[in-house]
Amino acid sequence: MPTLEYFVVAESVSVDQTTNTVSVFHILEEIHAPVFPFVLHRLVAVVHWNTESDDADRDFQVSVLIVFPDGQRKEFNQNFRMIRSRLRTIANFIGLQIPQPGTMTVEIRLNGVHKASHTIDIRKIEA
Amino acid sequence: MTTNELLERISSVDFESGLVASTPRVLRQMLLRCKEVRTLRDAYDAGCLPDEQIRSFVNRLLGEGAGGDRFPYQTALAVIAVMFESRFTQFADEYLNDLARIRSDRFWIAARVARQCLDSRVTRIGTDIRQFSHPSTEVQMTVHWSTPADPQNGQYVVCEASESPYFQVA
Repeated sequence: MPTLEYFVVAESVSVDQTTNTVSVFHILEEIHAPVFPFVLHRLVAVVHWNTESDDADRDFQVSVLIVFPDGQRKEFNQNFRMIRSRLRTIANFIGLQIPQPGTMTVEIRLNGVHKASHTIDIRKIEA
Repeated sequence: MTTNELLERISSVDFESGLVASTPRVLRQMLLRCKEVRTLRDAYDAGCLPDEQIRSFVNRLLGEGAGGDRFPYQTALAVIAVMFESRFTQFADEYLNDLARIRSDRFWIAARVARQCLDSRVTRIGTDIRQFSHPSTEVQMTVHWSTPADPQNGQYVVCEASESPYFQVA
């Protein structure tokens, strides 16, 4: 089973074509909005996996579970194979609708097993 | 030396005669240390050697080398494979995979060098990217999330939705 090297949630990510290096932009820690519901235009979950000796050519499923402040849960699945010794899985989300202030959690699961989570505070700007 | 001159150089007999390699593995090692390969890679990184120029160059070699038991410009093809080994553009992937797939004896050295390059890439980190659109795509209300200018005093910079580069009003 691949092991988790790192997991981060941000606004965007870039993988350099020439050097194969990753740049993560605007890590999402807290979001302020004056009106709810509001739409989070873009969110990206970047996960880096290290392979174990028995992982070669096996299929795995990484699930990104988003728990919204109102308790609503959305799960997004991404299948991959560990054909390399290390692998990044990057999940882009477009147009997430945040219903109310509170805490939003982005959880990473591998084959259904919890691996890590990232919490974002959603705050209302008081006039 | 211009990129065209460099490409001519790697397809010359002079260049090939300076590389005496007994196996594709040794040839790849020699090319990794070769000044011409480094210079070509630098030119590629700097944008001075576009994909289209490489494609035209390879097509020309394939045309000139048609016929015969052995393709005469295998070293030049191997140079480009080694140059692309550590590069992750779509064209680099396409070039290495296409060359590595060739099973003909006419290209045996270049194809084997390309396979060695692909093997080396496996140890590098791969990336799997997916995109999800939120199931309920109807945008009920859109605002730009704002940056607290002075949170201690409750002051915020709030953008109008119409000014936002991120959101569109439904």
